[in-house]
Amino acid sequence: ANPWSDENFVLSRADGRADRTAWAESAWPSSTQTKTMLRLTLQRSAPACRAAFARSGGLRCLATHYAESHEYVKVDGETGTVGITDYAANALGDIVFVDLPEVGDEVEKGESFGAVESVKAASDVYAPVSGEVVAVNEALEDTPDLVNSSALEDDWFIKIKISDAGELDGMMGDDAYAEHIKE
Amino acid sequence: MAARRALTLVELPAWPIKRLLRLEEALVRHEAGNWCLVTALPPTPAVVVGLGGKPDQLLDAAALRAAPVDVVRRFTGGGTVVVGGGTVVASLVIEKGAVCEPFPRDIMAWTEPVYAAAFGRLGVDGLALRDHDYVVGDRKVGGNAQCIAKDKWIHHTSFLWDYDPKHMTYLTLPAKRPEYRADRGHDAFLSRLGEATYPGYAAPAAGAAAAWSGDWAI
Repeated sequence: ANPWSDENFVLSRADGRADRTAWAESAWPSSTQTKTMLRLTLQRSAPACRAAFARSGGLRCLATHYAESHEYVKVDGETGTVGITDYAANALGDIVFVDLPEVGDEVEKGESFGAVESVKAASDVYAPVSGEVVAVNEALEDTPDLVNSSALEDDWFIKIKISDAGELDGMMGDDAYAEHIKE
Repeated sequence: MAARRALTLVELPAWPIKRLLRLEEALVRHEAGNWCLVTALPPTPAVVVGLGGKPDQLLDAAALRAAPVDVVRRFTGGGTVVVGGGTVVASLVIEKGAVCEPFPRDIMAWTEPVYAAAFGRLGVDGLALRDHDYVVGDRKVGGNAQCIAKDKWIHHTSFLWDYDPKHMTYLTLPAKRPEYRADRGHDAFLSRLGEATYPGYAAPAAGAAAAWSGDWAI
């Protein structure tokens, strides 16, 4: 049985009513909404769900995490989608070239895995987590300015099979990153 | 009085461009400290392409076949240049957090008064940043490129003390060019700094040291 199937999850609202539809229709909820939904859901979920949730590493697995160097990783199970934030893309200017690794390459947290070129500058980009590259966004080869036009959506750089989910600890969530770029 | 940051100023007479680029990258990625390198390149011309440059679009293949020269891809961004006798490369390798935010436009803006002061000491007044080039009037006298790495960044400039117009035939008119250039060819767009100062190349490092000694411990 799939402990993550819909019948095991009931979205509980603050007024105590359950609303399954809201959960099914939500796309990428914000980190705060996700944590709220999961906390409330745990109060009612089957024991199998609680066990599966604990095995998965908990709240880390359904969130976007940010590095101080302005890369993000959007985690879905074991896979992390990596790119640079809108803040970084704006600060760099018009992106004219993106240099990416190949599928199968290993990347290490904190080490450079590629570079973006914007007009006169080549800026290294750093892996926010370690793992194996399982997909590369080939659209960026012909349309590097996707990075400017749609950060956090179609302009992802690579997808990684994460080797150590513990590396996500200590990274920033949405709110902390918003504070970080204000400084 | 606030403590001044240390800057190591190095003059490299006649270093070939490929060796200079390797030294620069090593200083950016593997060596601590702030550096300024001033290099008067040897006479042998070379074409230098930026990190993402596409040679089939930027270079004239027929000109290169007729008179072959080295074509080198550098680790910084930016456009394509022909370097050789008369080119003086000034390289600023600076630790992040030392002077400005580590983003391209912030770095470019920080360098403008730095070089304006240095060249003012050499008798070149009015050096300014225009789009991403150094100009005197509306003529380009230096092209810039940068690399922003983990702990440091480099901003290096090829200043045109002199150049041979026939070397410019290696380059096509780039599709992406600054607005102030319009459709001017190389001769109408570029200017020789040597005509405003004097033919010798010994001056750049001395001028830089004199201009910056108030802000840096050199």
